[in-house]
Amino acid sequence: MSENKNEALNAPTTDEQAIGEPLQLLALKALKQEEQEWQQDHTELMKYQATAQNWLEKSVVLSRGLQEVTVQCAKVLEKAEGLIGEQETNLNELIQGRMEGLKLIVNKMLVRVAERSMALTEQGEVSQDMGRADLSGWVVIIGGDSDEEQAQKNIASHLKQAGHERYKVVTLWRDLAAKRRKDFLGLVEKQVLPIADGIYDGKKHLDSVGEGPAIAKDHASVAAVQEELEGLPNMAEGGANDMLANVYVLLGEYITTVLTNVGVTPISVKYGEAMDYEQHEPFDVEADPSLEDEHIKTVVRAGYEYMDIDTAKVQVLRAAQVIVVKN
Amino acid sequence: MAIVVKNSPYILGIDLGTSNSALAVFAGGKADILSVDGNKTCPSVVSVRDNGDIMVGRQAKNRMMIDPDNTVASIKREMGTDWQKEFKGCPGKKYTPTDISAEILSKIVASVQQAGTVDLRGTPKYAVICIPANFNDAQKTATKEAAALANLEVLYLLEEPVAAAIAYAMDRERDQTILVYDLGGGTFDVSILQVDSSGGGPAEFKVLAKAGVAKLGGDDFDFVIMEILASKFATDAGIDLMDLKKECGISKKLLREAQQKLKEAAEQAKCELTESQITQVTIPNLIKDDSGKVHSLDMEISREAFENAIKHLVLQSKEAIQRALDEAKLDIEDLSRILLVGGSTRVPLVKTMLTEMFGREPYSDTDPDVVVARGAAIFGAALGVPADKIDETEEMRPEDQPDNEIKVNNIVTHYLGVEISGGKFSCLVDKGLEIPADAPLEASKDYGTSRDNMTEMNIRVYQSEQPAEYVATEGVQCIGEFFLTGIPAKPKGQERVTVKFAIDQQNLLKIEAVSSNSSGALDIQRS
Repeated sequence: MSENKNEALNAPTTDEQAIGEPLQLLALKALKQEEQEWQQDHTELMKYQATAQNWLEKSVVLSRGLQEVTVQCAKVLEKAEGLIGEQETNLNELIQGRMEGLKLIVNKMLVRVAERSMALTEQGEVSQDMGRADLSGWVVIIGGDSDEEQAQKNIASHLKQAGHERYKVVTLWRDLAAKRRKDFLGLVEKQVLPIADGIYDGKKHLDSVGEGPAIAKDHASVAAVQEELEGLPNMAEGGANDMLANVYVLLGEYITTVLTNVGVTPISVKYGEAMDYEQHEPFDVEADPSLEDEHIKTVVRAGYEYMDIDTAKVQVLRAAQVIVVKN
Repeated sequence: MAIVVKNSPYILGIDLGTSNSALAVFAGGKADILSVDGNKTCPSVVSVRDNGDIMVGRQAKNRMMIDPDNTVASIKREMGTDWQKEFKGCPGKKYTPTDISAEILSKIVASVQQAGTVDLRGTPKYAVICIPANFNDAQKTATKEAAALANLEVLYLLEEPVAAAIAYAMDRERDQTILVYDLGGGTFDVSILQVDSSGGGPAEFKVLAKAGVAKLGGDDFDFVIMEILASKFATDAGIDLMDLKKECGISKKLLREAQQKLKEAAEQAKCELTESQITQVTIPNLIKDDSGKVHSLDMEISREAFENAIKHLVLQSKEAIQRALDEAKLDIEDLSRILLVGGSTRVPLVKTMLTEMFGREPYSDTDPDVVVARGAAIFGAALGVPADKIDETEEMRPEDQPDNEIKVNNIVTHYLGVEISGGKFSCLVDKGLEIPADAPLEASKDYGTSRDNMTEMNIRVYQSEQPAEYVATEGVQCIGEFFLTGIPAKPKGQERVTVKFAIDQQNLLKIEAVSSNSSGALDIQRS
């Protein structure tokens, strides 16, 4: 079957004058029909190619962003370590714990995700070939000696086969677009967001320092830190603990920028807001007479949404985990 | 002038699962999963808010913790039972399992229509819905009614392992005995099928045996990894994250938050260990203890360590395979191939164990968790739109039709019979009998009247998975009843009543009772 088709497609153009009139009409009709079907499939192909390209571009932006941020964060960490080391030879155990979390984020998680993101930027090779027969090709497909019934059968059979072949190409691109989307979103959700979570938790543990014993201050000279760590915002008095808090703020900003550049943004959650079960996922329920049932009391873990290229709509990537009021 | 929208020519292949449901159609020469709210599966959960709004899928699942009384999950387990529920938001209406399933079906169909990933070219109307191999009549009927409520007409109720076999075996041309190994999130099922794809006729499928483990799945694997991580963390940090009851000076809320992070990391580690020999689990700033010290987790887990820890779980599935082989009176060597279904079959140890047992690698799909819906879509496309409904339906494109015909050869799934005097179960049709493709399977028995001058008789129809002597025996279930009236008044035992059962390929059970002077009949739609 496929051998015959190739023969037909490669056959030299037949002189139209030499074709019998009914045969020529049939060939023209078949040519038009195939042209129409080809156009439909081609439009679909273009749509998937554009989507696949868009996801690839997002992956490239993400990967570059992660490479850059890895370098930036490593510098910040190095300076922070240097400062603490200079100031305190006998590091407080509490500060050690906080530094360990920071080192894991910068030296392990970021390095790993930056490396893995490279695989998403590979172009790959996918066929774009959607051939179709010309008039002479159709004459050969129809077959000169055949009667009209046989000719119609030949046309239907070839149209079906050619349709299958074209659809295979469309499917390849559709699958490629779907794979790139899945890989991109998977990497962001499973590898990048845990970094953002780690940063958020590190900051949170420092903010709630009052809950536990006070951390000894003046482990690092505030002035030295301010001088050394360029770009660390709002450096306040308070030694190593405050310096680490600011390092987390800075890291958080770096990661947020990387995510924002690829259309991934945090879901805004307000205290006392009604639950939206698409955007919010209950982590626990608590009574609170000052709030209505099914309203949000606290955010436990940030949620994120993204701009979906396929649907041009904002979709939830990961729902925010919240504590919900139930009186 | 009103525009009449014709029905879609696509037959929806639906996996109406206990935990998740999926929908596929056969288009352009292959079965495609249509995403529901951007995901390939939709949680089979329904929740009703106080204002009467009905939520289905992920949103309903999210509401489970807040309002468990008005949220329903795993309704498939209740299909065919007298389970009922009145939701606070819908006073006066009693929801049945059929109603709940109808909501799920409506949601997934509406969602794929809205998404428009595949142009369905008309209103979706016809469906092939998958059911477990052991579903009884009541369960099948309930499933079919649910579809009708969702404005779907079920062309066939296809057994899940058969659907999987169709998804895999479509193009293979030979007689085969297939073992379908289905390991999902929480349950394990194994089925043995006979497939005949040889010759020019349609491929035939028949379920020979079925076994399973009710609580075995990917969730157990995740828990094993959590334990490995928690054990290391307990050694390093002195905090047992798995024990929320033990007093360790940390609030339960913080412990639960940490446990949740551990769970997510465990799921991720399991996925990574299917590709790699080793994975690194890093959770920075996991928890702060009562002294204010922040603890992080950073641990390497090897595939070997993971496999050693789950070996006892995977061996449970091996025992179930042996039970199914015994029931089918087969040896492992008699199997032509093993097919993997369910996301948890991605765990390499499953493949390794089956390869060792079978001597060859099992067949697996890149997407084993939606293989059942895909099989249903292929089967649906092969069935096509009913001939008498073609006019109401958009034309089917040639590329949307599979090249091969498929036929499912059903066997009777239960002992079927009637109640006779003394509460005894009189079996007319034995379980396991094959239903011929071209004519119903028929059986009849004569019964004498049990009293003098008996002019009417209540005929109660029962089914049972096991042979039973009495209808009161556990597991024997009444599936319908009717009265035969107009029986000539005669002394006890002198009038004979003939009860005839006929069951066809679509599992429609027709019961007829005839006396010398009257007749009565009952149809029970068994699928």
